[in-house]
Amino acid sequence: MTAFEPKIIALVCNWCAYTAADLAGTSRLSYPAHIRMIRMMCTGMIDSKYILKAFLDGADGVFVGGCHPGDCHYIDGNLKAKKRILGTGKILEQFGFEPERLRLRWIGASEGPEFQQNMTDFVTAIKTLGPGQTNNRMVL
Amino acid sequence: MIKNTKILVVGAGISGIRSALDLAETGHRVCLIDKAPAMGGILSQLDHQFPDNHCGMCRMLPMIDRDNGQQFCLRKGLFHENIEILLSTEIISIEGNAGNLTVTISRRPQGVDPDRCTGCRDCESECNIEISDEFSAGFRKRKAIYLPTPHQIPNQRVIDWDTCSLCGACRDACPTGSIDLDNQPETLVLENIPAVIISTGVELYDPGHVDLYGFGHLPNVVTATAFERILSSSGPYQGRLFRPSDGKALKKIAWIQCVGSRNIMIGADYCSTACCMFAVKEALLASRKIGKDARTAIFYMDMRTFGRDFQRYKDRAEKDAGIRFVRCRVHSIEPAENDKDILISYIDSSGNPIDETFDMAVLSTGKNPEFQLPEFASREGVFTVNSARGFMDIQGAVISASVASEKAGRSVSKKGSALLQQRPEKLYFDAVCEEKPQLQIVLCTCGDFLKPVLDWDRIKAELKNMPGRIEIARIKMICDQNGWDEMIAMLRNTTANRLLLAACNPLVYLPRLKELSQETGIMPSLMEVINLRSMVDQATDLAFRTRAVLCELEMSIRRLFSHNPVEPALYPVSKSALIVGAGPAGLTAAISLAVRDFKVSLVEKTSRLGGNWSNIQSAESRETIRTLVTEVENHPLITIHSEAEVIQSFGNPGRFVTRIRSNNKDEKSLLHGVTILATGGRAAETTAYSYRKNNKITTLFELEERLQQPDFAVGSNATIVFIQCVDSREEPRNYCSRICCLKSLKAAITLREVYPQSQVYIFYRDIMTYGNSEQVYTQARRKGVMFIPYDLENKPRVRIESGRIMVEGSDPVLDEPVFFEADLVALATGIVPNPAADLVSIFNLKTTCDGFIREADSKWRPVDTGREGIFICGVGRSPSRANEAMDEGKAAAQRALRILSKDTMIASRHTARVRHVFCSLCETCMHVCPHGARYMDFELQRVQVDHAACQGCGVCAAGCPNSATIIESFEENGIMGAIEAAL
Ligand code: FES
Repeated sequence: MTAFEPKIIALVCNWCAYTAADLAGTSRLSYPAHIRMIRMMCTGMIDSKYILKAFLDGADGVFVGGCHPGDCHYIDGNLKAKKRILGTGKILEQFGFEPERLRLRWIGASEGPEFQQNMTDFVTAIKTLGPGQTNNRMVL
Repeated sequence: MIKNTKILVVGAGISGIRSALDLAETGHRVCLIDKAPAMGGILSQLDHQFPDNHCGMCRMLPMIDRDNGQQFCLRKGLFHENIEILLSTEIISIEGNAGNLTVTISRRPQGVDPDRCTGCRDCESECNIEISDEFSAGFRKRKAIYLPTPHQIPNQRVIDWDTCSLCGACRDACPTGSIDLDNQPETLVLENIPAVIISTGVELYDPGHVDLYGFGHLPNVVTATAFERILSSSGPYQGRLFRPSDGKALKKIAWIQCVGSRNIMIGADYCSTACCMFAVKEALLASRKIGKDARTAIFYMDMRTFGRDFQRYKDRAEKDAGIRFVRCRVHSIEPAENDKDILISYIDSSGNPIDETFDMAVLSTGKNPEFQLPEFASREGVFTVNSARGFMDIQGAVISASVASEKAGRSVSKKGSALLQQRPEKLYFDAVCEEKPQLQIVLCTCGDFLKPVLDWDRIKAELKNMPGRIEIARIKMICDQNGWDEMIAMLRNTTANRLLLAACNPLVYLPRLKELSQETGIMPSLMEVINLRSMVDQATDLAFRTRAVLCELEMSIRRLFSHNPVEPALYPVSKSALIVGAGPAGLTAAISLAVRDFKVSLVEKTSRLGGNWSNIQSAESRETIRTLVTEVENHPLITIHSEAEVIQSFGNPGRFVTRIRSNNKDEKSLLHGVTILATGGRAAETTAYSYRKNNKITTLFELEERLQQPDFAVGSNATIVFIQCVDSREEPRNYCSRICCLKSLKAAITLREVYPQSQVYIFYRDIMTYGNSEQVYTQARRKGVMFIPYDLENKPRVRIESGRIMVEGSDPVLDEPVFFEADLVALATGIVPNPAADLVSIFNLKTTCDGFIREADSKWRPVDTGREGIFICGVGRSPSRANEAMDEGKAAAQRALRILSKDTMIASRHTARVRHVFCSLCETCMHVCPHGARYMDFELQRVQVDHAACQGCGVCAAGCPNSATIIESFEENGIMGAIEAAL
């Protein structure tokens, strides 16, 4: 049996988490390669649809990386995102996904090592959870 | 010789960046130079800033016309169409006359060709010179060929010629031949420079000079900047708090304030202004990181929490994080018995000598007293930013930078130097919307590096099978000029209207996309760059790597195909301003705009211009304001509406309509492009300390006024008592008013001069004489004014006993009560903002809990509000001294010029658009928009987007229940497609 390689989507904010990822890259801090990053201008832009879509299409985990509270480039998009993601977690449960598969973290632009750490931790967490399975099909 | 009409900005720290951007955004060409090989000045070393404890530098980036600049982290570097940046460059001389200067600069080569360097680091490993690294404050070593800052883009190395031995090892090791050891500086003569701005910052004091503190030989005594590196996750311990000497986890840390500042012995008769909050912030961050075992202490003389929000921050640090504030001068730091810890000796407030051990001591160093501005800084046509004269906090630096750009801009406009012509946005994009999407993919193979590590046949085959019209090309190295040219030549010959560049770091290419677009006719928003290299670096085996690359390519392809640009909306800018409030700030702003030929409507509630005189007693300031009033009254472009107020306002940046009503009930509508609010403040009222119960108990403002009167008299050996911070710096009015200490000191000095026999006492909590006003404090002490500190638990008491005024306090040194019979008591009651609730709701702004109008960001955008086109300045925003308020007025005017100098507002790309057929007018978007860029168009019954104010953050799109909103370049179907492709 081959080892379980989780499929993970990371929705990251352009101003912070994405910059941190870039810093991690240029500082040669390696993080698991099976993370597909999608750059957003702000986490406030992340529609619950995207997260649901990702899970229903077979993602095992979704990571959202935004600016620290008070630090959002657009004032409070990150806090709006936090609310929305809390709600999305509840919906995920109805589809039979563990809410832990969706994780929101604040990562500042200069926190390359934190970015690496978060990615590694998340992959480990998802690996323990195993592949994501839905009990409810729906097409988005 | 370079023919040049650029304004030269010297120093690329935040002040320099601010000035450069200010000018660039108002259509000037700018050349920004710095002697360091990287940008950012001291801020490049700091990851955390008060008040949110994170970096927010990116908020300085342009918010209108964003497409001219970058949309990513500013610490990575700066890029703007109108700004040319020269690093490792110094000024040799400035000659000529104001408006037409000749500047000679010398530029050191960086040694590494950025176009060829691939960042492989081979050079670094071959270099055998090792010295301590300035960026990490000496906690790390670096080579003579090194990376000046970790975040800078492009992150190629530079050679430090001062330490390089020119041995050639790096050159021989470089696989791409990008190293050149010719270190001859190049001398350039720039002619026709219309103005120069000096924003070089100040040099920090080297505490090695104070033997007493052991800096330099005790490894656990560090400077505050060095501690910032310890806190940083790109620092020596990845942000964990270890101490340098033995790696012990830090628990007990002391901050020592005023090292090298406020010390007349070394000629430092000034306060370095920013260090108090710097220390509080560091102590707070450290305490949080350490957790419950943290024992942090700050040793200080006066805690200078003079900013609007500083006192509450400090209080929180004290209460929540348990930071100990100890008032004393530390007299020595020595090694502790175990030889690792350090021993701090000081005299506590009751005069007892105390020795205390700490894990580490942090020295708050300020400006170096020996630091001097270059001689050419005083030339005409050369403008010096205040932050290059004395150490300043970020807010101060940002405001003073805008003041300098306002002055430079003004002098240049007088000389009639042409601004850049505003180019109409290219119309060749028109056709794109009609055309079928066609995509060109350019794969950079990074020399030969990527050839063997990827399965190219599979990539080609799979890309061919993807739906849509796709062309693929492979180029050996697009980062060098040949590759770039090859790509441009190829793109000119295609009919593709979308471009996907798979290369290395996208941030390197983003600044070049606009240029690429001009060459090839493909819209910049239809280009995307992905980082092939990093994917390859991350993944391990060939199949996996190839799969990852294909995945990313497909994600981008899906997104690019989903883009559907529309021609951005344009609308004309009304070339006039509305200024509310005719105090020092408002008047200054009015003049700044009027001299640049913009019409100004000045609305003032009272019948008199000049603002609140009670705040402005010094003869000098009064005179300045009087001149200002006359100037405003006589300026043909300024219309004064006195005894008038604003009753309604709507519109967008560039075109607001405001109704005002004057006292005689006349109503008028004004059309204006920008709004500046300078609503000011007034003296606070009080009932404390038996005020009004006896006419010898007055407020400080009343005393000042009485002092001007010829018949003022107190007995020749009178006892005069000043009480500072009356009702201030404690809840509910928990802020410092900034003006009282200085006023009390000046009044005290005057009294001592007139009545040498008198006794003058000042009860104070902290004397807030920041910057050079410290000299007044020194003078007051010399004049024999007596200072008695008090704290909130031990406030002085004032009693009236059969007509006599008794003041009682306690002397902390003697720990004994003190009594005086006072002939005069002056209460420093501070200032409060004028009520602005109406205005705030009319303009849809926010206030602080004390009623000050809140700015967009207290550090990075201090005079902007959350709404573009509306600016604030003066006491209405935050307590300030008259000269500071006037500076804010200039800064606000400078910000306003970004809009007024445009003929048309050009929407940036990546803004929101509404698909009206799907919109149910639920107005959710209007509530969530953080920039007030959404409004209801009642005529059309539609929710509209103001494209000038919209920043494209997409909160509206995510909130829309009907997916009626789309954000250009972040279309829903594109992201959904990318998600599909990713899985
Ligand atoms: S900008 Fe980063 S979360 Fe809003």
